[in-house]
Amino acid sequence: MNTEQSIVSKVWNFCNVLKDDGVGYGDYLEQLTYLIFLKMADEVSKPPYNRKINIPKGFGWASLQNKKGAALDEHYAKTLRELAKAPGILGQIFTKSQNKIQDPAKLSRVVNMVDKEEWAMMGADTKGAIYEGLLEKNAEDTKSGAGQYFTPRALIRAMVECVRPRPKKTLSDPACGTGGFFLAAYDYIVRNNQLDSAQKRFLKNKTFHGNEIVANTRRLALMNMFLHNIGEIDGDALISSADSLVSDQGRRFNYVLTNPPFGSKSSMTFTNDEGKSGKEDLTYNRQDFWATTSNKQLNFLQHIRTLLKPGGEAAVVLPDNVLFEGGAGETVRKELLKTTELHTILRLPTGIFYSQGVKANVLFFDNKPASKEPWTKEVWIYDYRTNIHHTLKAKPLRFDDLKDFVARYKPANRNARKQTWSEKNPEGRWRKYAYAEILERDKTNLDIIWLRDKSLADLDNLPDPEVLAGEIIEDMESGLESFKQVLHQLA
Amino acid sequence: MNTEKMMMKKDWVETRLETACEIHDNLRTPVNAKERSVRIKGKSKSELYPYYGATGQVGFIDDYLTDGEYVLVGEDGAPFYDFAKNTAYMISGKAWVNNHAHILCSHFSNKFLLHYLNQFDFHGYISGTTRLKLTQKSLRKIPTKIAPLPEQRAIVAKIERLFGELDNGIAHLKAAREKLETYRQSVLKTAFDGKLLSSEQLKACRRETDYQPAGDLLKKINPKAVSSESKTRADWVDVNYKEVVDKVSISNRKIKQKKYLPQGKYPVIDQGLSLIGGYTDNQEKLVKCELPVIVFGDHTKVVKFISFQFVSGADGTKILQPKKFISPKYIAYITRVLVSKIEDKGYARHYQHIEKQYFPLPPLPEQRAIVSAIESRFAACDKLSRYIDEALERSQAMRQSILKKAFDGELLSEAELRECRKQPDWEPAEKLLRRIRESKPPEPVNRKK
Repeated sequence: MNTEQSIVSKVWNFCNVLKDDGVGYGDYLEQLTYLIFLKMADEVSKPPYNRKINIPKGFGWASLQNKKGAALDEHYAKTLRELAKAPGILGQIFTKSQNKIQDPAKLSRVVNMVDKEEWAMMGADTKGAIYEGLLEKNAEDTKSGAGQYFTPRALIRAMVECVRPRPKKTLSDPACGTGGFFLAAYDYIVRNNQLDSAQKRFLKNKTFHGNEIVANTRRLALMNMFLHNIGEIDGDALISSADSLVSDQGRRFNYVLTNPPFGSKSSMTFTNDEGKSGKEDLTYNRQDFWATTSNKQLNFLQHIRTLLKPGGEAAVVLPDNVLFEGGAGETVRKELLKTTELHTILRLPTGIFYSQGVKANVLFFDNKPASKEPWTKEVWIYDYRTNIHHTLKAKPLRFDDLKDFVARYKPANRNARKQTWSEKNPEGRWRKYAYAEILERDKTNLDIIWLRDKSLADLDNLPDPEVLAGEIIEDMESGLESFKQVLHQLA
Repeated sequence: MNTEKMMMKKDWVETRLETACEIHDNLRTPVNAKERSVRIKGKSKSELYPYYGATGQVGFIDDYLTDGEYVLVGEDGAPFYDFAKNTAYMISGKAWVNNHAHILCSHFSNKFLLHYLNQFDFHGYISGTTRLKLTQKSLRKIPTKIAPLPEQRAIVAKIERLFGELDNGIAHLKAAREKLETYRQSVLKTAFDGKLLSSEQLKACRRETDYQPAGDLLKKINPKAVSSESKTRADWVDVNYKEVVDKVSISNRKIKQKKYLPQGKYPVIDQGLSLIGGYTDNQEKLVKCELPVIVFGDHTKVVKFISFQFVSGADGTKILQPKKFISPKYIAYITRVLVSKIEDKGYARHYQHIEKQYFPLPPLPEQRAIVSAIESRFAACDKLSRYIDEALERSQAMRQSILKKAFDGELLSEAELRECRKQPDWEPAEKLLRRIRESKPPEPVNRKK
């Protein structure tokens, strides 16, 4: 077994030891993040790196190494608190940090495990593989809900291969979760270009920008990127904790690749000064939007469009309701078709996200300058949903499954696209629709299916009753939430 | 009631419809379907225009008479008294309207007029009983509300936002209702695979007095049956369907559909979707067998569990009697699972494929426990399904409620009203109306082309 594999298996094995102690993957990941970061900070402050890392005195790696038992426990907790106050990425990583390993003996073992390796020297691939592996395992634990921050990597890779980001350009993910899109774009740029030193520096420090409002997830994203060589240990945090939808921050980007959160919770319950609870509508007030709505995904779509430079390109994962919802949905679709070139829609199968039964799509569109004529002339649709069956464990989505889509997309020359559908071949999955055809559709809906569903009740791929029950309850709650919203407005 | 709201209504004004909008009925021309199909033959999509009738588009035609945004209200054949349905709709662009709809163009906001008409109570303005008719004469008299322009815009925007939210809710509820069916299937499959009961429930089954491993049970049910150890569980066996049911003969006892009575002494059960297909008084035809039985539709694949006396329908009705020492309901549910496992043969017979299937057989107490677990979940599904149906009905009422509030002047909040008053084009509706009256030439009389 080579070094990389042995480290990975060491880290994994310890996962299970801690799991028996009630420390879940997520918690383990969190503590590993703090410890590896501290160790790496220690390593790069020494030769041959000799970087000036401003870890507060007395709280560096050395202070953890020589302690045991209650002393270790106490010092570790203090360290976490101190570092949270630090500036830059350091503070960001340790924000709201807490020790979740109750048994000091086990904590000691993790510290030793981290201590034995030279992390700074380790290839980004190895570190990345270990970390991403843990992120994936964490996401699989559906009860934790961590899956909502993790887009399937095969899908991310396909989206990046279609958009083909180039060096010296900027990329934003306004709902970045654990940073999967950044990593994939980084890899793509490195693999497909001979970068000079200026381009390398730009890639490392100026290319990526994201938002993630959940502190723990943001921490994982920062660490994920950092292990991948994106960003500097003592540099500015590339991921903001601000809620992207609240207002236009002013920056514009060449690319937006993102998977905004699904789910439609659009209000918060709060307790006011008198101790009474009330509901506050989270309807964002954006004058630059086309339509006011409480639909989070529609708002993200409108926001993403504002993030793009003219000529900027976006690929966004969005649920079905964005394609067919009336009212604000219709307005947004009409405007999107006019003001951008919405050239491609990929219809995704169910069973690939950690939220079972989600029906989602990828929308690809290019931002364009103001014009009298609508920019979209035709929309190309790839149906990778009808009669496609994936499950997370037995038949997960692989990049190979999307290779045909990427080939048909023709990233290098979209004008050379050819339909696979025709009157003679009605089962073809790649088909184009003219702008006029789409305008005629009820509510300009883009929920277009032409393939016959052969498996209305596919017995082998039926989700478990509990999973379905969960989805049904979610649907009911969303439905009732909408009705409540309406009643609230009428009162 | 607060003073703000009373003031708002003071800025509104009510007038006859003919003052609030232009009537362009002179632009209508009917063309019958036959002539239209001749006219559109061979023409490309870009040469065709929508042809509109009382409640919406009814076809295409190769020319246009209107080009612009109009509000159309049905003249006859529209659902004037049905509050759940719209009587007005909008058109835009090049179009052709026939003489079953009035063409209106508001002097103010078309959308405001549209929504107003869709909540208006037309009683007193409609003539006719079987075919309801709204003549132009009556149309002109309809009392129409006008609000200051910014309010009209704000109200329209709010109505559409709320309708959007409502539609969203309806879509979710409908999705939930569809999933319930998939959920039922999943429950049955889980039961079939022996995964429905918890370990506590299994332990309880094993403690029951009539517990014995399925292999032994099968010998009691059918000594001649061949079985094999089941992979599902150690005390289950895999058995062939036909070893555990008997076909009940119904030759000479069937009743053909044309002989069904709408009411009678005995129900007739056939392979149709409804539980009871019809009735008969013919006692001779009662099926002779011990109840309960399973009625299987050979062509339709429907599975019914019957525990009352009945007469069999004719074509495709198969009566199956579960053998003794087996839970009849368990077999009924197993039959449903097997139905989803076999290939759909359209209108051919399916039972021959069902009886070849194997299924795993649990011990008797487990069968009962599984049936109970299935039925409690199905009962919950039924309850939820009814709840959803009710909620969907109420959403209809909500739509009407939104419109009513809008035109009672109660939809906008204080803050929203203040915003309206800040707009540069705000003025009391009375002023708006006066200006229109002063500038308008006399209304042209409706001239048919």
